Amino acid sequence: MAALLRCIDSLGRAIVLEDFTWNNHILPRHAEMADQIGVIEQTLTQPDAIHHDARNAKRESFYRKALLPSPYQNDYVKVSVEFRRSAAGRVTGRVLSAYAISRVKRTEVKKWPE
Amino acid sequence: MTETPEQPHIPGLPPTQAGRPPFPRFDLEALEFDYDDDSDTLTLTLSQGRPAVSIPLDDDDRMLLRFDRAANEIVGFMIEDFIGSFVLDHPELLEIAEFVGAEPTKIARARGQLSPERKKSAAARLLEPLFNAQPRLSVP
Repeated sequence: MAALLRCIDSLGRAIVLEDFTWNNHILPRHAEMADQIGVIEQTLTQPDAIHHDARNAKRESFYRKALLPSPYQNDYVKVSVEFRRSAAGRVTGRVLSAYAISRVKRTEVKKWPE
Repeated sequence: MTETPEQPHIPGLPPTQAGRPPFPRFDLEALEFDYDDDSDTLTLTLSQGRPAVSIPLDDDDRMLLRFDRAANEIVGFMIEDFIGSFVLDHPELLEIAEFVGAEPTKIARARGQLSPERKKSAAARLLEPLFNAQPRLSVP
């Protein structure tokens, strides 16, 4: 899979956003994220908070407020990432979705900052 | 004079837009169902290609509405953890999971997790409004 974005998150883990995910999963469903690859990168590298997904132990939610243009300037960007540990013990993440959300989900437990 | 019932506030809307925006009609021509297997999300789109913010609606944070702040309009809905969690509480929606092309193995796994009580309660939820809507319900 071709990578549209590769970055290291605030906890030092490599994360990739694949071309396929961007074009087939994110853009068709979340028009507010068009032209916002930089916003996704900022959310991953400098999040306000990282939460454990409420139901999937391999997934985490990255939140960053006030990155989107008006009228979404007071909303959060949420980027959902699935992590895998390789046989060598290296943890890497793959972006599953990214969209604007009005608040952090209350059912998720905060992972970072503690 | 007819009083307008007070509309519940949707947290996430700015104070000037407090209250519930008008519930949109489900226009079958424009309505699109879409299921994302990767994130286990069902999306109902009422109007394609509109930038919007997702606003959680329920206590479980699984149901969200998509709100176009520029137009002050609801443009769609999302249900997250759809097969992994939501259909277990609402088994009657398994039909939708099949209709939107979710993986059959995933659907079969969800069916296997359903208790008879859940199935009974789902059947009651489906049938009750059908009977209730019959004009001849009152016994002569």
